[in-house]
Amino acid sequence: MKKKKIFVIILLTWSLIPFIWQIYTSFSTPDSLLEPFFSLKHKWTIQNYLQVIQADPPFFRYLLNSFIVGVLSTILTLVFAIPASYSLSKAPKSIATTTKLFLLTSSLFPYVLLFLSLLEIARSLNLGNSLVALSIPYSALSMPLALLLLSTSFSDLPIDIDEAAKIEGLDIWQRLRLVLLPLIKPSIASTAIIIFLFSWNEYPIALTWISKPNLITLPVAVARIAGSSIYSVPYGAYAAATVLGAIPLIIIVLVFQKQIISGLTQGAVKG
Amino acid sequence: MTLQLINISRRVKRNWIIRNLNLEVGDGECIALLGPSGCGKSSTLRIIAGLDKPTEGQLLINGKLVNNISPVDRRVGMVFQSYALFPHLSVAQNLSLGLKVRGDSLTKQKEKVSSILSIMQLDEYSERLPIQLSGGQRQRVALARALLRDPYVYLLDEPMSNLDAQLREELRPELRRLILSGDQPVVYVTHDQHEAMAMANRIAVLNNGTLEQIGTPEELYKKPSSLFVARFIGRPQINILRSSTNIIKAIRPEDIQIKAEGIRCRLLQKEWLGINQLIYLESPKGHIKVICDSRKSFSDSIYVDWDESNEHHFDAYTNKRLN
Amino acid sequence: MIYLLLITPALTLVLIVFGFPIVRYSWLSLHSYSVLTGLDVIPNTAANWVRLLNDDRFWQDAIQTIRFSTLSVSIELVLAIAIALILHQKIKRRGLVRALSLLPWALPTTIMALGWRWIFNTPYGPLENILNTIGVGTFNFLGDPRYAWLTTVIADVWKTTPFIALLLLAGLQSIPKDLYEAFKLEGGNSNQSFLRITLPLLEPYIILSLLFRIAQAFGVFDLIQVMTGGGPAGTTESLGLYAYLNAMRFLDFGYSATVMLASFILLVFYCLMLWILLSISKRIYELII
Repeated sequence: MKKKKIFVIILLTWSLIPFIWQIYTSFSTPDSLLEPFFSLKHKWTIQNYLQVIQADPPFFRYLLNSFIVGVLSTILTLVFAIPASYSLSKAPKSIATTTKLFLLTSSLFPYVLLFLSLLEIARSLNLGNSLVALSIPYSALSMPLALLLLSTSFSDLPIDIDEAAKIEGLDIWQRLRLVLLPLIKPSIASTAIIIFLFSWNEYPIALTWISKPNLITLPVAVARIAGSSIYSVPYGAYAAATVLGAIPLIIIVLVFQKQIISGLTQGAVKG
Repeated sequence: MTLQLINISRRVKRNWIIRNLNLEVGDGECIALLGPSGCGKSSTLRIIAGLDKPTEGQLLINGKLVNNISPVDRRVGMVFQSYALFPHLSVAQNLSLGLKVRGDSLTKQKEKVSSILSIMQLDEYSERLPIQLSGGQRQRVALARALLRDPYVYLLDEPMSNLDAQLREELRPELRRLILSGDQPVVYVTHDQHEAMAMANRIAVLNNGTLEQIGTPEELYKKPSSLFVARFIGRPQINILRSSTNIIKAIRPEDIQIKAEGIRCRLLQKEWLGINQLIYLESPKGHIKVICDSRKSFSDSIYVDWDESNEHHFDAYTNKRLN
Repeated sequence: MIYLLLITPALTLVLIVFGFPIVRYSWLSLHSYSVLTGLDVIPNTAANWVRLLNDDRFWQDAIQTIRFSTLSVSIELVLAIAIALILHQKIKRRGLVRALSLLPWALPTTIMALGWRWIFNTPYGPLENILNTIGVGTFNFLGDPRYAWLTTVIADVWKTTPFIALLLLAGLQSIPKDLYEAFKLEGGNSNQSFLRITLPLLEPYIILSLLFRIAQAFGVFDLIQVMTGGGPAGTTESLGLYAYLNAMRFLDFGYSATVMLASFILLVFYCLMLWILLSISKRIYELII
């Protein structure tokens, strides 16, 4: 019993200590960060945050950009994935299995290797520097997982329900809207959150598609801050930026942990 | 209103699920599809509903070919074995959903739903979710939904198999009153011969996707057209007598009389059933079962006999009826 | 028919994004297409591939990528199994514990990479700070080719272990309890039940997380770019980063495509080897227990 508790505490410490260190750093004055660790001359400040907030463009701009892309890609993915996964759940078994295998392989693919082609597509179709356009590759990259998750939950519904609705005279859209979607709401929620997290965090494609400073997303903004200052020392402002950037996600994870976990595990179990 | 199946066959990959099925259900008639599991009775129902497509053959409702009409437009009322109530909707919403999509106005929906609820004695449950209902109540909601469909044909797929024996008996008269009294043809799938006999005007016995025999319960019992039907209908099961010829002879347990003299048998076991008893005998023609008065008591040696005209004769190769 | 209509757009999108690049890279890898050719695409037969074979930097990066993936995924898997076993028992505030341990995975990689860069900073980062204070001396974590790649492994392990642990936890939860009870009645102890019941039944989950993680670790990019920029002396540079640099810094798209295709081939090869290794060790495992 005791051993377990200690282990959980170690686990949480290990997971959280980098955050705590960032928070500590973000509230420290540059000078006190240069002092040895146990120095008594430590001074606290909120100057780092003010600096980040008052920068041009302000830091919240990046959060907003990431939020916009996240929401757009989530909606786009679901709009395509829901009818498609319903069909997939109705497909003959051999076709469904092949398709799912293809989707599984795609979802395992290290997508960073795709960036060049995607960039070429963006250039030839003039899709660069647009948050709306950025959500298209995001939604395509999330599609395999979304299809796998949703088609599994469609298949898990008793087939009688769908057929009873057919006999009641509901066409395919009415069945989806009035009967099936309400029943798979939990799995739609977890799929949506996972897509949102992916889009919020994605880096290489955002890096190559967006160059206008006021359109870049949070991960790119953070990397830019890092890149501009490889050898400079006062980390206070960067720590403040990472803390501000982390807060929305921490909230999301705490609120939706159940959906996230069930989505992830379902993907693993059924995929 | 009528329902006709003409040479209906269905093949899945290389297996014939149903082979050349012909069936005609007349105005207000109830036909029970009876058979062991996997005999094709549920598939037949699904073909009628439009949920599966026949590989061959024609399906006519009221004389109109409906092969290519989707289940959405086919206008059948179906009660599923699982009831298939929409779990996220209340009883009232379950019932009004179909009415809504079929274009009834809101007031009309309310009117119809509340009238059916009171017919089914479900008024006080209208706001409950299916999960909050008992098995019998769920079954009544499923029936109500089928009734509201105002269908051309009723299809009942083992509607009582999820209920306990007592509830089944209580529901039978209700089912007859609500569904069998109308002029729609009814197809009733069951594996329970008692239920089939109680509910249906005629019974169609299916075996391996083909129709073995169709007839009134009495015809099936008295003149089974094949050994399969003879063994399937009637409990306790018909006795098959040992024979050296190409004719299989069979006699029902209730047609055997215990006499002072006749064929000499040895008593093996007894089952007391209340009004009568079932005795297991070893005879020169093999093991036989006999139903007799429960007040009788026996010694180890028993003499039995029967009227030869009560024997059923079947061909040993084709298993078809000979007499 | 309507089903086909509904599924086509989604599958087309997936095919374009995942399938088209492979075709395009195969084609590009046989052409010169760079700032030197004035961004004209000129066939060069196999020049890119010959260059690749003689490109020390590519092979160094390949070895680094394989080394990084192998070490971090191995550590992650072992730790994750342990964590999953602990979390599988009844603990207080399970939801909160799970959510908090999920945080490292949920945050943008660039944010946590920046954080780790500060932690490993020399001489002001907390780690060096403590080591200096207690008199161990300076390590120069990010500047020393011996340690730098290990810091990226630590950061990767930190980020993904909880995630794998959760996947494995789901696997554990899918094992019916009565199996353990039946095994106990047969006289098995808890070590035996771990080896004979838990591990074999967990196997599909382990394989899946392994595949998933290997593929992801092979494509490591954000972490390296932000944490070390590929340095020191290119020792932490991954194949993904090299391909990126070829395209975006050296503006040599033909060669970048070649590097990416080669990385993909290496990954497939690596997975194949892993699969063989796994089936052999599974055999041995079955023989031993």
